[in-house]
Amino acid sequence: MSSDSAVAKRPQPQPAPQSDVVIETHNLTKVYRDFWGRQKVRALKALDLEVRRGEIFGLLGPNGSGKTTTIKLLLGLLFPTSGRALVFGQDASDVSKNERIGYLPEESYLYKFLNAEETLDFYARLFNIPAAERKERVNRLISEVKLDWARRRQLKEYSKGMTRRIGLAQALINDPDLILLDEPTTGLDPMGSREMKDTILRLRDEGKTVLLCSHLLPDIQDVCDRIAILHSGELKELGRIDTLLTLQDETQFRAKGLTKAAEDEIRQVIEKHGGTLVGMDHPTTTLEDLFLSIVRESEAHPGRRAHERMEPR
Amino acid sequence: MEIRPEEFLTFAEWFGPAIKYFIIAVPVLTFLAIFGCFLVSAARRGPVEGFYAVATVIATAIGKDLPAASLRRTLAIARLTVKESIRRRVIVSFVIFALIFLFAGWFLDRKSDDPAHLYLSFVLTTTTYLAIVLALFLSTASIPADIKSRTIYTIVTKPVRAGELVLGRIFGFVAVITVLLAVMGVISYFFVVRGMEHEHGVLPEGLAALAPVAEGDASPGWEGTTTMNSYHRHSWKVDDTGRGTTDKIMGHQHQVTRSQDADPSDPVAYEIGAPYGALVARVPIYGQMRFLDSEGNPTQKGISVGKEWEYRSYIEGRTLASAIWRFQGLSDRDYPEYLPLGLTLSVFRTYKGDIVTGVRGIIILKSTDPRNPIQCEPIGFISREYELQQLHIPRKLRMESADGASQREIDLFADLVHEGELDIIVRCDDAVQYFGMAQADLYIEAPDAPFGWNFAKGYIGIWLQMIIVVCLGVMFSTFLSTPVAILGTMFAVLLGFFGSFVQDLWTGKAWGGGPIEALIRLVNQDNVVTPLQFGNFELGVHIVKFMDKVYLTIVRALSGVLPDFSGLGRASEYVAYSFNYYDQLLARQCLTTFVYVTAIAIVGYFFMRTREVAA
Ligand SMILES: Nc1ncnc2c1ncn2[C@@H]1O[C@H](COP(=O)(O)OP(=O)(O)OP(=O)(O)O)[C@@H](O)[C@H]1O
Ligand SMILES: [Mg+2]
Repeated sequence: MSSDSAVAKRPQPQPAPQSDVVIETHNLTKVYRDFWGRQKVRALKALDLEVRRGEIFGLLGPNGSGKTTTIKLLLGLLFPTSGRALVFGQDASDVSKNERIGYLPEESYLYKFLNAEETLDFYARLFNIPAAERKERVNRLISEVKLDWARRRQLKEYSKGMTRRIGLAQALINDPDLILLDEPTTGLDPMGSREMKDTILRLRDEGKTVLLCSHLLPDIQDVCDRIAILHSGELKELGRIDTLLTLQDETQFRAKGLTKAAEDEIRQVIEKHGGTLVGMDHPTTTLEDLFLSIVRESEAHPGRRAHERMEPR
Repeated sequence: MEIRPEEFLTFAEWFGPAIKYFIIAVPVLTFLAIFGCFLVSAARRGPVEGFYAVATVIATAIGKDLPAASLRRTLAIARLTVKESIRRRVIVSFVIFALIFLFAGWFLDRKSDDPAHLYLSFVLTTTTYLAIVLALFLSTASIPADIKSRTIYTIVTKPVRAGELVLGRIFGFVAVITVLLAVMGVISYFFVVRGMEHEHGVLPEGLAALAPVAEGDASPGWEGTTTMNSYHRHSWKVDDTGRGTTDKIMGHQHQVTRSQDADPSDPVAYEIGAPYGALVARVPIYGQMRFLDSEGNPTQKGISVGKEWEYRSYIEGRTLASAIWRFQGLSDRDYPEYLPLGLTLSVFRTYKGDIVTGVRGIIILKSTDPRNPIQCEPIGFISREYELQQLHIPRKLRMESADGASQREIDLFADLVHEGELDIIVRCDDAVQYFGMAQADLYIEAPDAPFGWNFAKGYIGIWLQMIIVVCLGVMFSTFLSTPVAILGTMFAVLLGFFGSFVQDLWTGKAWGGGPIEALIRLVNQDNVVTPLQFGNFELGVHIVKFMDKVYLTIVRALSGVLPDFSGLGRASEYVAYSFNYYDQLLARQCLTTFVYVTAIAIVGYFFMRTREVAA
């Protein structure tokens, strides 16, 4: 038997059946070991996460921060060193959960000797899909990812972006309830990455749950409802993206159609409080700024959560 | 070719003990395997956690994965495997196969006495080795390649169970190899048949009318010789209607016919037909053998003449010592004219005598009817050592009357065969010479079985071997990298081939000792039967013997578990020696293979299941 057995730890009380929580991790830790069982890397340290049905959840972090490791643990590709990962309330090592999961790996690891049609047909056969529907789905997905023109070409002739597209189609072949996307937009052209983001939003609108990880901040900012920021295996930030990016200690006003008198009145109120009106709003920072500040902070004080704030529900 | 003792068993006789062994072996092995896993697991994470981990793996295997197993997914993986093989490597092996056959014609010795054997063993061995190599490289490559290229991520994140992955791979490779072997079989069949084909003409020189039997009669026919073709010529005889056969050379004969109304002295009038008799599947019927000692009392074995490796037992000439075979299921319908016997003897001479003519022997046929145990007059024969002799016992035999004064004629089947049973007694007829015999040395030749089906059985034997190689390859590749998996499979196959030799080494039946002792003997150039010595250093001898014993114990245990490859390859040997491979043996081999496939697949499942594929 290999180092970590496929099984989880002790059985734990299952969450309520109608729970909205799709992904749950408790104290999830992964230590990569070498052949002799010596510790190499602590890739993930005591991660606690919860992803709810119907949301787009982003995992954010610099290279090597443990994003891919987290996804692999959720899929049962890796066995946790300690802690546990639950998907649909079942342990991550339980294969039956895969019926409802779609996964797009970091790079598209597909069989190069198959063509697009055969690839999707093969993956479809791994699910219980009737033959007619299988055919229909394969055709629909090929046109959705805009590969009609290359459907009969072997994947070894595909460009990186094309492989990425067929990888996405493969992840959606079973009409999954939960989609895990590892850096979905890498290798895609601007149109492609726009389409990818549209697809992600559409999936959310269809009521599916999406977990994606990326270090491309604009992507995350565009689509995610909630994010978690990881840095060297530790959770640094977790929350709704709009809340996270709002600077609560600044207010910005901007108004239209006010009379001169009304403006003077407002200015007086501000002056009475000792301020100067610039506009009126809560300005948002960019995700980039937030991200960089968290990373810098955590490099300066390793092990400390950047901003200890309550996670808004 | 020697028939092995276990091959005499019928399916029913074999099945009982086999299933008993199975019922004992399976739980013991399963328990050992689980215990081994527990030890590994406990070493990693402590006994309690380790026990819990092993228990959960087994529980999910039986409780979750087994009920969820799906043929659809297994076949999807199998289809993928077939496609992968086709689009990658397999074609190359075809090319190699074709090339070998293209050039083989030049290297096969057409002057051989038994070209059929040569051709058959050539195609069967070539196919076996080619197929083993192919099976080895195909089966060990797939899963490690999937893990290396990480395509496995997209497979195991679908609802594919580890068992389906392993079985799907096995099915796929077996399908590929089946098609390959079928094609190779057809090519080989025509290669062999074509290889036997040749034509002869008639030489004008030897053509002559046969001398009449009695003075004044007409000539009973004509005789002549054929032209030299394929390194041999025949002589032939035809009767007065112009029909006859050639003699048997290089294992075959030809039909000879003279065209109607032609001049018998014209060589062109004779036509020599296509060869026949070379490609056959002889069906020996073996009897139950027992011995009588020189006083005529039953005995376990004959005399040992001091040859250690001899599997035959000896009987002394000019005494009552006999070897008796009891045959069953004989019916006159199968043998309308004579009872054909095949006899192979070894002779042990205490004096040289007349070395050219050989030692005389007698055969007596005796009824098994206890109320009327009549026997025929002895039929004499001259032994030819170690060579298959074909004797035809005529239906009409003679029997001495009770007072010994007169003889009467009896019919073999009507008078001697009792309820299909018959005893055949062999004695040596030269004083102080000995005959050596074993059970397979005397048999009745039943009518030949169809050669084509026998040839196919040879290929089915190869096919079964391939299936096991594929299973081993896939199983090893679930936890080893390709090169290591190849080594592992090769080791398992070799151990399977030499399993019985290892067994003999262990029990001391074979000489020379274990690997360390053998190495020392090799370096010292010691004889294998002299005791091992290092001068006066006795402890050294003990140490060497002990280490060898430990090694052999491990290897023996392994070889007891591994499939018996030499047994699986027996079909080829039977075919190459023109013997019909028993359907019963084939059925046994199929069943055994099935059991091994199941066992190996289960082991593969557990390795795959507990493997952290992304690590
Ligand atoms: N198979 C492995 N063996 C050993 N260490 C590994 C292995 N895979 C990942 N790691 C280590 O674990 C840490 C986290 O890796 P991970 O792949 O999760 O990062 P990531 O956040 O996905 O990074 P990226 O943005 O570059 O994809 C890294 O330090 C990496 O070196
Ligand atoms: Mg990554």
